[in-house]
Amino acid sequence: METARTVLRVLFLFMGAVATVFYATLAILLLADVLGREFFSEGIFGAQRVAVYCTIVAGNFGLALAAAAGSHIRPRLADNWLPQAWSPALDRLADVITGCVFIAVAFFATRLVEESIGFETVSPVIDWQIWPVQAVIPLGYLMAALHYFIFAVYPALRPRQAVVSE
Amino acid sequence: MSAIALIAIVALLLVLRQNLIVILFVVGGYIHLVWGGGQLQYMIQDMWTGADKEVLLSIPLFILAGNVMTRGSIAERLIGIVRTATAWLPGGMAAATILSCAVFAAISGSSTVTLLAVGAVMYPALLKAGYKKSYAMGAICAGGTLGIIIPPSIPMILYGISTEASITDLFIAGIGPGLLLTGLFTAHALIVNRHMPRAPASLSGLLYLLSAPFVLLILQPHYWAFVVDAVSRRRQPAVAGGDAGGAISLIDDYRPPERFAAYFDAMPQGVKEFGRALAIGGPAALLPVIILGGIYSGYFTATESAAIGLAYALLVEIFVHRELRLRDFYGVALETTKLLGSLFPILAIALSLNLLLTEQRVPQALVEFMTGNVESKLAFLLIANLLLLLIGCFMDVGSAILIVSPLIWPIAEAYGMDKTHFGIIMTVNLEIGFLTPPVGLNLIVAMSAFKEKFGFICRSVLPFLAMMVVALAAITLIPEISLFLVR
Repeated sequence: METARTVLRVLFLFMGAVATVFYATLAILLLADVLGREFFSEGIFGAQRVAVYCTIVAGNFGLALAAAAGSHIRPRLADNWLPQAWSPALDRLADVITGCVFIAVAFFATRLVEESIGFETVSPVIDWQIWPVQAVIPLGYLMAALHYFIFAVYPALRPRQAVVSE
Repeated sequence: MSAIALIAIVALLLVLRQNLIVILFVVGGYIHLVWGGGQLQYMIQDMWTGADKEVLLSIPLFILAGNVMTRGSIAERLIGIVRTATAWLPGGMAAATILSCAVFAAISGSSTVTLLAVGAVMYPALLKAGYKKSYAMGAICAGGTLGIIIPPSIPMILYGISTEASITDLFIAGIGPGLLLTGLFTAHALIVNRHMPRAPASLSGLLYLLSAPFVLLILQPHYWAFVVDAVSRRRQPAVAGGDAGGAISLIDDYRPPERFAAYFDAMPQGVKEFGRALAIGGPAALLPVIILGGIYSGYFTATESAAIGLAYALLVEIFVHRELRLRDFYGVALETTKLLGSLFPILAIALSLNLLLTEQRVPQALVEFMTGNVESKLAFLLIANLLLLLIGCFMDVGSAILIVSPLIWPIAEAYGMDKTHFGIIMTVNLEIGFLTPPVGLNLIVAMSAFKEKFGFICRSVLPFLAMMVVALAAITLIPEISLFLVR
């Protein structure tokens, strides 16, 4: 269990650091763009496009971070339909199913990335290849799936379900 | 048969305690396989198309800005200004609670953030001052909901993305309903708490109160020169940075120029306190002016105002209040990532599902069904409001808007509704959902934040719910309340 705990901690730090860098980049880019347009009549070329990609990267890393923090939104109206004594087993089964669905999403997202590489799809405005950004989608879902599989094996590591915000 | 199977699958997933992302994925996958082309990869492609939009940029920026403000002391300083400005009113502290929520709502865009930021300061203060516990709890929970109707508002951005409505128009349209609700809550606060003790008031005090902002504005250069001089001589934290205690001691030491001495000497104590709060919270008070002023004047787009608001909040917290260090940005970014991480996938899947449903002509089928069975616009509005109120009881506002608005808006359009007005109606309906069990988010947040019983909190918000339903009826039936600034 200690190894699993360490893996989760390292992943958390890594994802947090990446998200921070991308959010800082996003904020700086947009601010510089606005200031450039206001004071020099010229914004930063492609700033909004790059900022969108920063949001996508941070958002997909956030998927795994939200899994780590237990902050994914879960409807609870059916929680009492089965006996409460089954709860521990149901929670573990839930983690396994979530992990499997996320693996499936990661699989189809990988095919999207492969297609973009094959067609050499480029981003509008800035003309960059978009597959490196798209590659974050399967990565995010794989990391989230890993979290859920670890929670299924070691329920003690599962975070308390957080109250979500809008 | 296929539809019944889909309902059964959703029920099974609910029993198996799956989160909303998984449920939406399975529903989307099922629709693709049964009614669509059978290519699940298209769903991911649609998700990418939905997420790859510049209009989404304002969401992380407003969430980041909200987290920066919550971590620092902007909320506390804004509350200080409002409290001292309303202290002379009977029930002034109750009015200050509502007005503080409204002011904080104008910079945060989130209901729970508003509730926590204002509630943490005002709930204990109201109890200490002898206000009824049920009133205090109800006011904090209901005041918090102003966070999503007074712009900037994340649910309005989501509605704009889902229905391709102008986010700037939605923000501008939110001000009328926001003022209406703030006015109703404030009037209720003053009537219910009219017997509460208040600070002594006089006509001269009122004149001082009205003139103080202008005098303080004139004195700003002199005051800041004094602060810089004092800080450099004493190395003491002050208004320009450091704890509020240091700031207050510096304000108390401040001596205005000779020509203002008589004005200051004759100033009533309450007005002096207001001036002090204004000096401490002045930079923070400019934040709503910058964000909303920029949007309403058409100077900034929603995204630009979010960027400027974030930059200003960081500047104020790091360099003026000195209560946020650069390394704290890691914690702020982490909180934002977690929140966005739960919202972003839902947004992408919901947009992908919407594309699929549009391709399958589901909205058109709904429109035909509704217009074939319900002739009157009024009847449609009644049904729509009841449906949205019901949805608000069971879903969080972001998911509800993303899933429901693309389906319900085409129907509303068929009845001749304005897209912006309908967005406001939807937001107010779901705003009420924050206060309705079983999943009223503000009720749950207040329960854990203030350690009160769920039943007590539900009872305490009842008068506010009644006021909100009245306001909803007015907003629905009188479009001008929302659209007078847009037109």
